[in-house]
Amino acid sequence: MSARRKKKKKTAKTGSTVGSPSVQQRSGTVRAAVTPNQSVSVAPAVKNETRPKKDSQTAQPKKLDRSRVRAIFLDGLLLNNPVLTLMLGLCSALAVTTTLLNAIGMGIATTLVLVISNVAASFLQKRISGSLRLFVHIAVIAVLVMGVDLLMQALTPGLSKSLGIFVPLIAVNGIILARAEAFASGNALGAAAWDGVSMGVGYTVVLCIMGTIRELLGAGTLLGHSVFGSGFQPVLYLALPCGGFFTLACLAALAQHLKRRLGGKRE
Amino acid sequence: MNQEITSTANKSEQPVLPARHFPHISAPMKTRHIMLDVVISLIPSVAVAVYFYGLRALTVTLMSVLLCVVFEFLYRFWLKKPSSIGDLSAVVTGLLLALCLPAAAPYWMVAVGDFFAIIVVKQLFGGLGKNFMNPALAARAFLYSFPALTAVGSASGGWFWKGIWSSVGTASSETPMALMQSGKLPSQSLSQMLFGQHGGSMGETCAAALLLGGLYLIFRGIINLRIPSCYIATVAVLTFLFPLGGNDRLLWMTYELLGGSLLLGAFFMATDYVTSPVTRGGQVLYAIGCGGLTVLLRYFGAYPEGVYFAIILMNTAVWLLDQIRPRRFGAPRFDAWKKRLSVFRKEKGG
Repeated sequence: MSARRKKKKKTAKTGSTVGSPSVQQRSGTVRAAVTPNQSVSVAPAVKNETRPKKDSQTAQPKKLDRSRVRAIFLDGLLLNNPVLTLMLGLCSALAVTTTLLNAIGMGIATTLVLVISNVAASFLQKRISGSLRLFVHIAVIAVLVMGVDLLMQALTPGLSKSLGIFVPLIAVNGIILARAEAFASGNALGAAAWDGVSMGVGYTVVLCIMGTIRELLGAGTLLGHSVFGSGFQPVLYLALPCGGFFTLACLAALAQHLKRRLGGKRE
Repeated sequence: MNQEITSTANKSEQPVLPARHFPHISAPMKTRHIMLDVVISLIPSVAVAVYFYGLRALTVTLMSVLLCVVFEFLYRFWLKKPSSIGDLSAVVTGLLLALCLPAAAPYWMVAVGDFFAIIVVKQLFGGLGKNFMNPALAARAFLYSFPALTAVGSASGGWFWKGIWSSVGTASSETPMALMQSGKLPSQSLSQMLFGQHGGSMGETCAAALLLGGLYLIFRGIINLRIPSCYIATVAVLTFLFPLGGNDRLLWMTYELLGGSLLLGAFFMATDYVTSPVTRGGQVLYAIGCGGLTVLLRYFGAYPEGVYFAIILMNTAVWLLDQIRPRRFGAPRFDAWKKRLSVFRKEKGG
């Protein structure tokens, strides 16, 4: 326990120069759980937060007040977009987006898991010891994904079949664990749930844009309906994996551009 | 203080270090001269294509060149960067892309290819000298995404004026390369393979015209023989050793060398300065890799022609091949290798 505390202090000290204070408290654990780069790229979430450098057991969870609602939503949609900025959950984002329908289904499923796991993480933050937190989160997420998978198999068998392995793989999706670790376990229930919703919406929007582009140009259809007529020559490149990377890169560049413009206006 | 600064500023307008002392030979060799030579060397191939496929070959080529220049100009103009159309590299890209396409290619496909080559592959990465792939080849690979169009055999014999505006009647006589992938020798004789008269992309038509252009480049000192010769030799050796379909080895090898875009790729595309290694050893390895991949892709690939993909793949490995450094002047032979091996031994022992 003491070793952990030391590590946390270190990251808090070095982290304050890198990014915002709001995301740094848990950055040590995120780093251990995911990969080193992802926690660094986290952009400022909510600036007026000051966190006590204590263990989460004694710190007061941050509540959702009116000023944070917009900030958290904008965070999920653009500033801290899970796919375009945090670069999390890329595997599913690239593999699933060959059609718009798949993208929508995947987005909704992930959002569902994300919201519930965030709520659970927020609820459990004071009830479990710090050293067990990661394992409990993973167990909770795995159970949730099993539920969602079974639900999809029962309600939308066609979609479930076309998504294939990627529904069970939500369990190891970096977005869900990162939000549970980095955000939800330091925030109150309402804020955690709202963060889950906005992150899920951000993920779904990006997937839908990618799915629209790739299905429209790669197959000439949209939600299975032919759009351009028979004369259209589909761009096979976009339907292939390389097209997924290409679309993602273009969108990420666009997101950077938008963020820069938004930042310029704020200043 | 201010006066001092202004005085130094005035001085600095004159050359600080006039490099004058030795009798230097000035060589007015600029990118434009190199590119102009490449353009000249490609003219025979374009002429042959026009002879065989009619005026449409010329319109496709001219449009490709024009669009490349326009895209390059617009991008640089829009981003307020100095214009770079003067170095003629866009012209070469347009020419090479056109020569990779069948003459029956629709105009919009040429436009899409030009856009991809200039904007995405070349300018987004910073312009000439910073592209990690040959723009024309990358665009050609991108155009493989239109399966219906790349299968066009572009049969020879379209009359001169025919089909400038409408797309050429796509009599899909199988190209020699498509036949050879299934292990059959094409029906054309060897002299027909050498001088044209078979389907395929514009640049594949006449091996003799390509050789002429390549020799011109070597004669002018624009490229050296290392990459083309290693490339072609690798393909020759591999196809001689492993002929498909139990054909005669020598005949099979000759058809493989003369058919397809091998000569175009070996002389004009693999030798691109930007996307080929700098050192001798690197260039040899690069060319051998190109040759091996070409044969593998021709034999086992999904498309009949593997030259484009082989060169692109090796382009992406150039950074690695550039790690091979030449021997330090005066250093004993294999010194670097001995050092590396000794480190390895120490690690193993300790």
